[in-house]
Amino acid sequence: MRDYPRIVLKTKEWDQDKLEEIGRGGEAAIYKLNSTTVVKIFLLPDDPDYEDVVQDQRAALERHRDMQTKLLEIPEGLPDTVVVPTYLVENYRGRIVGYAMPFKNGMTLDRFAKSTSTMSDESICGLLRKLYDIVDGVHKRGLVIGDLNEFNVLVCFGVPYLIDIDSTQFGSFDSRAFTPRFTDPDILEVTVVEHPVSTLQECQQKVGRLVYRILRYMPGGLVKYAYRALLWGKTLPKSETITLKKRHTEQSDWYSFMVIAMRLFTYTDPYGGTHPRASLGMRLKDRLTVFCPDVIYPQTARSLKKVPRPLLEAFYRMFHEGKRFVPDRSLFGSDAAASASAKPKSTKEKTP
Amino acid sequence: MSNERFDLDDLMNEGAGTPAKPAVQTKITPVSDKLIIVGMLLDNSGSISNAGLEGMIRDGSNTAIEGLRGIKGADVALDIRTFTGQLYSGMLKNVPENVMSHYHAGNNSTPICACAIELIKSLRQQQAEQKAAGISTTIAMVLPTDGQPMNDTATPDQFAKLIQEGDFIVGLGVTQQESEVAEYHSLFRSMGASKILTSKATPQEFRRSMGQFSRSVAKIAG
Repeated sequence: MRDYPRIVLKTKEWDQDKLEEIGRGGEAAIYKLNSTTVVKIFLLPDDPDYEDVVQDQRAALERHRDMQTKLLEIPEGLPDTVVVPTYLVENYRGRIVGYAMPFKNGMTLDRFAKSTSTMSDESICGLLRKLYDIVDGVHKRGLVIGDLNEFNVLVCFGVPYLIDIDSTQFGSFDSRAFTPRFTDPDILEVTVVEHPVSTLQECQQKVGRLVYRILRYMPGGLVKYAYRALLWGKTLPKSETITLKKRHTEQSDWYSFMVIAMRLFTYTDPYGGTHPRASLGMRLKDRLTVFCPDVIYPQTARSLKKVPRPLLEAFYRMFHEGKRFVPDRSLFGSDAAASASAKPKSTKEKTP
Repeated sequence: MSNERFDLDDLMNEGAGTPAKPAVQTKITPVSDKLIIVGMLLDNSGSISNAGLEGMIRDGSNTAIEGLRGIKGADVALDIRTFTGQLYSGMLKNVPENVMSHYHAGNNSTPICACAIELIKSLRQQQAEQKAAGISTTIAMVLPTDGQPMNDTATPDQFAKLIQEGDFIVGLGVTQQESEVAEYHSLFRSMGASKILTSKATPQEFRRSMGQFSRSVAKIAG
């Protein structure tokens, strides 16, 4: 068990206005204490941000309960690039309400990628190798990151740092946080309430599914028609909710890592772009990724054809075919970057 | 949908993974693949100026704009309007610092529904253009008002019918007395609002509510 020095908030109502709020998420607010330290304070269940949202209020309550012990049990020996608490912050009743950590004057990975849009494939690979080592390193210490996404990675002087250690999963502590586009759809549950369908539409759906099943085994030219058949009978959802169905795993961390890799190379994710008829939930459910010809690939994204071929194939296998594997670190080697400018393979060549 | 046998190259030849052609030239030019279009319909009726609340509206709107700048993972486009005209339309990063200095109240009617309909239709048009360019777009709207509709040419349910799955509509009622809270809830519920906020007619309270709107938008962006 870790032993931290403590900061005690003496007053009932901590005057947070005196400190500079430098960030606020769905779970906590970050304040700058001084030039080297920031404080993360978890939002209370009665925070105005959770007004009328019982689900969020309950989650905040559970988070507060968990943090009383979870922060003390963060495994030792994590990579140096994982930002861990340096102090615990207690309220006047002795309850842990947050923690202090070193201030990293950097940018979240998404902003870093945007700010350096001319970043070479080689630099992207270098960054991903460092992030790969962090993911691998924390797994070795028995920790699953859970909500691994480009907002939980800070880049300072070209070095990625993993933040939000409190939302990770280890021992008996689950990670309940997730970001749909970065989370393995296999551990998500999508509940779609579709508009009521008529008997005719129901038949249309069945025929569509049947044609899809036949066409997907046919040679390439018919591929797009297979998808169109599948979506022919679908109706837009009335409402949909995406929830976490299973625990995060090391494998789901690697899925999230690959989404980050894809975003760095293409500025979009497996479920980026738009689909004429399917919502995000429907796409996650039916695995309608950017590899599906009916998906309108974002105008702002980099063409998939420009992604180094071995990496593109890994994206395809993981996202479109639904395979799960630990990516090979060599995918992000200097050879991978060099192959981006190489000639594309023959269209007849099969995916391994 | 297991055992997929689609070949990567076949799909690429079908056009998968190729950026969409440039959309119609608009003032909305995201660089990210996700966009949130935020509409702010600011009440500029006479009751605002009579109560000396113009400064409060300006201040609160600036708070909302600043809050939107903290959004991660998506670009933000902004359309700020009053009942009598548009104050700004374009990307958030290009909003002039003094944009709210053009806000003046004194209009002799409160056509919330008609103006909200006009605004959502315009946002929907922008959404369609972005969708065609492969940009995943969400609409968020805030409707701060200090009174019930007056001389309105549309009804709340006409607005409600235009709301689609994924839209985030926030009604914000400014109250002078406690009894108005229920009236605002009734109005905004019939307009189909996703979230209803009420704020006392003080700059601090209104700022807090507008900040809350921005943070809620930030949540849906993630």
